[in-house]
Amino acid sequence: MAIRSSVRRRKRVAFWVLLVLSIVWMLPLVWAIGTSFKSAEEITNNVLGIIPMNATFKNYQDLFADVSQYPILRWMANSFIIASLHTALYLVIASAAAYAFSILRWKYRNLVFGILITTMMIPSVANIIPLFSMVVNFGWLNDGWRSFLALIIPGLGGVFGLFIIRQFFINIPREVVESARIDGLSDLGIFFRIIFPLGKSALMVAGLFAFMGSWNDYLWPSIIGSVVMDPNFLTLQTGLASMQSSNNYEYGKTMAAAIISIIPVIIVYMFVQDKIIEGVSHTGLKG
Amino acid sequence: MAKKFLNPEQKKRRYLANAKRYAVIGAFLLPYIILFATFFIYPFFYGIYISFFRWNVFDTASSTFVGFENYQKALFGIGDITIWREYFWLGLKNTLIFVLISVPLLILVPLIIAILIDIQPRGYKAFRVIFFLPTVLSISAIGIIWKWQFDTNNGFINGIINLFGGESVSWLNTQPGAWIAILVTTVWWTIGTNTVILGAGLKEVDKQLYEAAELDGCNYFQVLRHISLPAISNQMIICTITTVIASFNIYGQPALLTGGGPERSTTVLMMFIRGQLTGTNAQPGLAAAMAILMGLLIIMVSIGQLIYNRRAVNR
Amino acid sequence: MKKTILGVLFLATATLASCGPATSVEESLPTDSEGNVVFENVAITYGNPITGSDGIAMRELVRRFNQEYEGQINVTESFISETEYYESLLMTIPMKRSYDIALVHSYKVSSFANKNLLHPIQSIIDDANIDLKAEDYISSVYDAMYYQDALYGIPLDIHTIILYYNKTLLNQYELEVPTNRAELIAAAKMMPNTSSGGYGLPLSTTWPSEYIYTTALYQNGGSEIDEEGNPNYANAVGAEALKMVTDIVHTHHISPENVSVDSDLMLFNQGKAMFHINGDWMINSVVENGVDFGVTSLSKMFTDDADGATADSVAARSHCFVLPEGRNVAIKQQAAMVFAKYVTEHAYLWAEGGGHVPASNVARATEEYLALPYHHDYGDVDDFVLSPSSPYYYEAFSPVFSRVTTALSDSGYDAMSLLTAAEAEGNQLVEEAKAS
Repeated sequence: MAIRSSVRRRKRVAFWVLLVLSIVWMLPLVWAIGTSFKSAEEITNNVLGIIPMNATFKNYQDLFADVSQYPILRWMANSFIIASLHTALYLVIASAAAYAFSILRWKYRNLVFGILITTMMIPSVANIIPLFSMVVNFGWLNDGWRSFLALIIPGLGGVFGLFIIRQFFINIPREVVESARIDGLSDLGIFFRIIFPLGKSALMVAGLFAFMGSWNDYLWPSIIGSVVMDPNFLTLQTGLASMQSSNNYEYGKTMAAAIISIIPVIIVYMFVQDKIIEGVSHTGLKG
Repeated sequence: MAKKFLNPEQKKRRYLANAKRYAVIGAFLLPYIILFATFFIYPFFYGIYISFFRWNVFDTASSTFVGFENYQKALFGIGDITIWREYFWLGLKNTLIFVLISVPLLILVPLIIAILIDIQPRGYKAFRVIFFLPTVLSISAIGIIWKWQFDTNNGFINGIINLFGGESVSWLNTQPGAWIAILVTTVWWTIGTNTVILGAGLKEVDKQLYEAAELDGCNYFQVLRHISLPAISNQMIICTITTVIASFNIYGQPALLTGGGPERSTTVLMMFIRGQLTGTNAQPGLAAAMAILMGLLIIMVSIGQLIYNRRAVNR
Repeated sequence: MKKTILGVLFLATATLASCGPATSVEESLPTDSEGNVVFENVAITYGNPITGSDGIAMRELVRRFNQEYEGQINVTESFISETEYYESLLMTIPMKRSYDIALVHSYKVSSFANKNLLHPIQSIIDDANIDLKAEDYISSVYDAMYYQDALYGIPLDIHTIILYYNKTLLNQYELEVPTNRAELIAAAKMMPNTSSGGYGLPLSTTWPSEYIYTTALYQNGGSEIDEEGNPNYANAVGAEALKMVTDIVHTHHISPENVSVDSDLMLFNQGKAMFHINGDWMINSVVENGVDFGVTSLSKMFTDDADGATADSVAARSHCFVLPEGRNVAIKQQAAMVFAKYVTEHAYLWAEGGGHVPASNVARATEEYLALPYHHDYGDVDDFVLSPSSPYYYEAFSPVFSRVTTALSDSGYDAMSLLTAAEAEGNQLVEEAKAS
């Protein structure tokens, strides 16, 4: 009994500590959203107010009016196209490779995979410069649409998603594959009829990470973006960053843009957070 | 079955069957391998190659071979030209400062939160969702939001300070305010991953061990120290190594919050490298050399950590 | 209006054609019976780094040009923020996919021309018989468009920093508009100089400190570089100039410490600052905020020697049109020059929307320009001094900017050590630039 009550007490303490911490954690976000609805006057005079006294849409209106310089909806569309294409391609390519590394049998299978994993240790910082030189010389930076190639393709060799998917495939019971073979399915058939459908949850986790990685990527797209002169072809992140670099720092619009960029992410997050968190948990346990 | 001698017809069929098998394996494997080789392996060697040149990205044929000059410039300077040496060591110093101040916090704070969540109070799942949320946001949006928070005149932080009678601090224009601002933003943004990983480790621990220990008279902190922490040592090692690497690679936070100021005190090495890639008088070869040096350092630090942890675990 | 311009062109070319050799336009260019280039649906791209309120004026100028030249020349404008703009130019010009015509700052012309990034324009103007000549522009600005005796640009404007003053506050303290440094500081000191009461002259540590320091340097008889293009400011004059700037914060205390960029502007816009130093391009932003203000020249404000030979100088920069090297299609280049001429001569719009001073004498003589309320108080155009033309000007001088910021932030600064460090860096950057 003594233990139960101490456990209960512990839970209560934890609850209150966590509650306070989470309020502190969310405060900056909530304040930022509120501030984006403040007029210029309130921004200076009502600094602490989370809910503005005279809420106004002016910052958002100004932002949308300034479409030629800050086409935020276009930026979001660009990021969406790039991230979706990247994710779709990656899932197909990586799940095929994962299949080859798990179910299919061939000599050197584990050796090659081991080499792949060790390359994860090599810091990617050194790759940016040669990649840039390569991409310029492929002609991918010659116009806006082609610059998307530079943002979609280089990441398709990523090891992380491959690792997750292969991990899942390896855990599929042997009997499933064996019985499929006995039924006469070829390697190809097993992949499409059995493995791929079974792997949906792993694919979803890998897909979420690939999408998030592409959507949130900052350094590489900003380098690409500096060559593409047209603001209409920037990704969301590069576009947002470009709003901060001018000497005329336009507070209201920039905050509105930031809020617009995170609202869809937060909404989607609410729906998929369990998958994401589960995915992250597994990486921790496998290591 | 004993090995039979095959007649030519059977040999041909066996050969075709194998060929088909390998073709299928190839079809599944090659797209990925080609992409991986082109965009991960090849650039690795190409980057080393570039670092030995005065590289011209737009007219690569006109690049001039300079041997180790780029490395010399970055590490020691050549003759009068010492700015690259200054940039490199200053950038490295700033990056190291950041690694040293950020990594402990980026392990400790997630650990505390993970422990609290592991106690599974009411709504613990919701709490986890909340702490993980910033991690899915992008650094651009976060840069805008937090730069505003720390704004000297209209920022929330100074607003609170003023409320309690204190004086506004010029966070982003002075030290140590600038580092503090970058640190706070980084912690807010990135602890989600480590919290979940450590939390997953904690979850695996058999709670009956806790009960047994408490029956023996241990208090909760002793339980944590002697049971929980050792149990998640693997996760702690993973978190430490990945966090160290991530901190070495830092770029977005100082670039967006302080622009590297005040007086370049927060210009991290990644920013100097990026700065040499494009622009007037850009020297991509020099940037490549600096990046490779930085990469070598990261590898050495990571291996060092692995060795240290292997020894510690084996004790 | 369209007919008048064409008519003028016909007349001009008729007189020229009659006394010169046969037109030297390329065979591929369409010409009319009198040998003038005929533009039919020529599309050109135009890039510039003009955002913000002067951007609105620029967009309007493009719109008007397209309207007037409908069916002949159509301009598609692109604009991005300055740092990205220059970075893009440096990358896209070598790739031969840059704009047909670009707007750049004058101090970049020598540097870009030196790297073969710009196409010389004199022959294009001559070939198309466009009436663009030095006499129609402010001479110092036009001279800055030359590099190694070749013309590379047509100036649009000259812009500089000015002193904004709050009329209400001046009246409150019964002060006259200051005409030199002594008067300025005395006036500013009348303000309480506290965060609640307001300040005399808040000075941001970062912007436009570049302009301000350069102005101080000129007014004390110094210059950024010597004849060989090497840095020339780590000396007594450079240190004195620095002191003239930083004293405002550290000695006279008419500015708070550590003012971040635009905070000083905000204070002025809220009526909490008696004076404000900023570019003429901010004029409409100040107008919008409803402060009762006026402007005056910064001559004599950064030197104690009001009678010195260069005491009236104020640092200025200029925007100009240049032709990036690229596919070099002759008809497009000529269309671009027609566009440049149009915009520079209609630059009263630019002056109104952007606060700048048009470089074109034609524009400055127009009724619209003469009617503008503030421009005529900026000061004498002859006092506006552009930076010396040198391909390595920016490499030599830019290291000083961060040091100025340091000096403005830290009252215990050592001028010579900061300036010497900046000069050393400048020397190295120049040397490295020459080697590449």
